[in-house]
Amino acid sequence: MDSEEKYLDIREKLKNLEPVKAGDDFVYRLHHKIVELEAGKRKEHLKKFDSVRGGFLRNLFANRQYPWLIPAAGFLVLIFFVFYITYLSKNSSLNTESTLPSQKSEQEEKVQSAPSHPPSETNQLSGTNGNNEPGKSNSNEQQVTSQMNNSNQEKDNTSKKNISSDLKDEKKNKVFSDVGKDSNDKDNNDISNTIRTEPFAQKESENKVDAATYNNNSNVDLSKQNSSPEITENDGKVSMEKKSGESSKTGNNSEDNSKDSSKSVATEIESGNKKLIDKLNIINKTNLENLRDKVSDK
Amino acid sequence: MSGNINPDYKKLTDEQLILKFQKEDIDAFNEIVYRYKDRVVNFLYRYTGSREESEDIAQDAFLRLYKSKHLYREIGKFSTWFYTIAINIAKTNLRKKNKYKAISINNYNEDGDKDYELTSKMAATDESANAVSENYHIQKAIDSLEDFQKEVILLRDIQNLDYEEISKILNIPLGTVKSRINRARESLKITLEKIYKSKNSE
Repeated sequence: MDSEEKYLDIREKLKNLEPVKAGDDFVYRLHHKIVELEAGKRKEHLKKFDSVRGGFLRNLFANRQYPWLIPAAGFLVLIFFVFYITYLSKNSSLNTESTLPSQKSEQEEKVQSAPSHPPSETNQLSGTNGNNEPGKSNSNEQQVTSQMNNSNQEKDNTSKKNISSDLKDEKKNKVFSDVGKDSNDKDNNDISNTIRTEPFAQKESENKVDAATYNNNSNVDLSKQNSSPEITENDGKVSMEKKSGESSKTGNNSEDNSKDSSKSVATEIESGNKKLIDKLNIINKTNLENLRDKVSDK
Repeated sequence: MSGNINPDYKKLTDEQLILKFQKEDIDAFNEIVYRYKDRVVNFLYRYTGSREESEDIAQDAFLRLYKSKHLYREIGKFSTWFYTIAINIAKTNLRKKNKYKAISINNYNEDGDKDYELTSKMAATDESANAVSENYHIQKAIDSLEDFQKEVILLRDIQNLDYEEISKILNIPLGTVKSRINRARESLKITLEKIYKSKNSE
């Protein structure tokens, strides 16, 4: 308080100083500055928004801060494009190469699996009927063929029987192989359903027809074919009737297969007949020579 | 921003007004401008010695208030906060001006180029002439003070702020404020005595 009283005159002088007032346009100028400030804020906001909207490339190239960047970027894009094209072409060639071997392998697998299918297919087909044991017919047929071979060996002296046995062997083998092939095709085409529905009698008649065609082709073969069941019956091991019965038990499928293969068999039989005729001619010649030899000996 | 001021806002305190302005009430800002423009301009005129400069600084202070309204906290008085803004802007301007003066050739003139303006539109009668000369001498004496003395004596004797408020505005201890005020008054007294002696001798 002492200092306040001490300098009272100075304080009085300072208080009595005429107050300076703001100019008339002070508020107007202030408002103008505020409007400018708001506009600046909007511009900044728009700039920020534009920078965000413009993205990386616009910021990079629009300011022209790095003029060397434009050709460099173009060159880089070109290199990338060329590399991409070469890569695509290589990749496409690799794809074709990789697909081809796979297709080949699939085909090979099919081919390899083709011969292994018939017995299993027949077994499955026979198994569908449910009465017979699967694989029994095949074993019987194999036994028949082996026994036929044995009997033929025993009757080497009789050339006719030999011929008939050869005929039978060839015929059966062909039939079995054809049946196997056809069963494969049927497996692929789902023909087994149609085979099941077809009556067995029809198959037998068709077999007879096939046999008739075969007989018409050669009378000698017919007689031999007729005699072949007798031979097997005499052996007392397996009869053709049993075989047919078993085949009927195994189901219509095996005979259905034979029906389908009849056409191909017929063509093959024709070629076989020709061969047999040739053989018979040779045998006849040999017989004639033997007879001559015997006569000459006598 | 409209120039019309809501009459209801005349009853409100400064703190209530700034709180309203913080809620984007532009009328509250207009009322604050209306209340403080003359006070701040007067203070800044005495501080800087230039009318234009004082008005520019005052407008900058109001713009700062407009932009940074959210920085005000209700802890202190609004006047303290706003004077702090104004003085800080004035100080930065003064520093820039001093740098400019150090380079300028006009610095060779002892009195400088300050043209003390007439504060009123009164006719140049004898009384008014005396008053004008009195103001002129006092202002010259104020300008001769150091900046830290000038600001405290203006806030205390012209703006009539108390010591505590001055210490808050200038962010200095209360004792420092008192001592600075005493020294400022003393130096002002001496300066004025010299001026009057020289005037009487003429």
